[in-house]
Amino acid sequence: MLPTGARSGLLEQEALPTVVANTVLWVVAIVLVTVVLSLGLAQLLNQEFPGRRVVRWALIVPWAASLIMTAKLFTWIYDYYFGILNHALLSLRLIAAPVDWLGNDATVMAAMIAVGVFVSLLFTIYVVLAGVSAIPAEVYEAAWVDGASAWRTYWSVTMPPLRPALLVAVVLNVIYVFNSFPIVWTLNDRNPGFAHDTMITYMYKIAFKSSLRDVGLAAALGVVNVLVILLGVLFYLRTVSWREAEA
Amino acid sequence: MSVARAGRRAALAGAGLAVALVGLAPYAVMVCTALKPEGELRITPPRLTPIAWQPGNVAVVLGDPGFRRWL
Repeated sequence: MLPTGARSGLLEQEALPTVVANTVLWVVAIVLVTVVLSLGLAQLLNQEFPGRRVVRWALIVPWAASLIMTAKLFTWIYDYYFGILNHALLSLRLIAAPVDWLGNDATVMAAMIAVGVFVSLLFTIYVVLAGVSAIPAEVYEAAWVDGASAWRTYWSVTMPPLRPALLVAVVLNVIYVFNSFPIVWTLNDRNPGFAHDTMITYMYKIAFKSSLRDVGLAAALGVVNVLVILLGVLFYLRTVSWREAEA
Repeated sequence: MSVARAGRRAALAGAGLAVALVGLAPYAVMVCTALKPEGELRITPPRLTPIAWQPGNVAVVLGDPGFRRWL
């Protein structure tokens, strides 16, 4: 139970609604994009082609690299003046002028989400790949003999056995992304205030960085964070189990 | 092997290569940046590869007593 003072103090914070909205956007966007991309990439990596092993090994790098290092690296890539991204996009004529990816309110969240997807993707691909590769080839052959289209085969043959793997991928990603600190902290560090913070970086700022310097309030937010993630995961698991019971 | 099958394998290999390049591209930027002299880090327009390669940067880091202590 939270101390009454801390609870009322937390709800009185003007930045809280923005931070909650940022957190929802951060988690939903990253998990959704990651899972959708992983489904396609796992299918690709499950096919036989020359160099498949090299591709699989190459994709381990973003996952194995330190998060803080990758986040700092993207700060450099996104740099307005010296970043390679603006230069590449200008060269390809995809943008007319350099973009301040991490300083513009309109782009900073999307820029952070892109990094979040980049570092979450590999783990999710491998979880889905484990599920895809466990499906026997005979099942696909049977679907082909029955005249099923590629789309029908995917939904009726590939997806049902993938559900447990997807469940694991979504739950672990939600927890991991919700609790992610280094990406938001590093890419958002030049922006004042809390306009692009998530619950985790907001908690840290309340305790150690903002004018509040209120460890009690940050601890109260920490308790809320744990409860939110537990309730979110339980809700998701119950929803999925209801659907499976109905199926 | 039929032409269609060979074409499919080539397309898959191309897609796989593209995915691997996207995954490794940020780290290629990191490696190239690590091999640039200080003055080349802030030039416009930025370059991916160094004009003057400076592999000695790695030796400087490895020779730093602070780095060894952290290691």
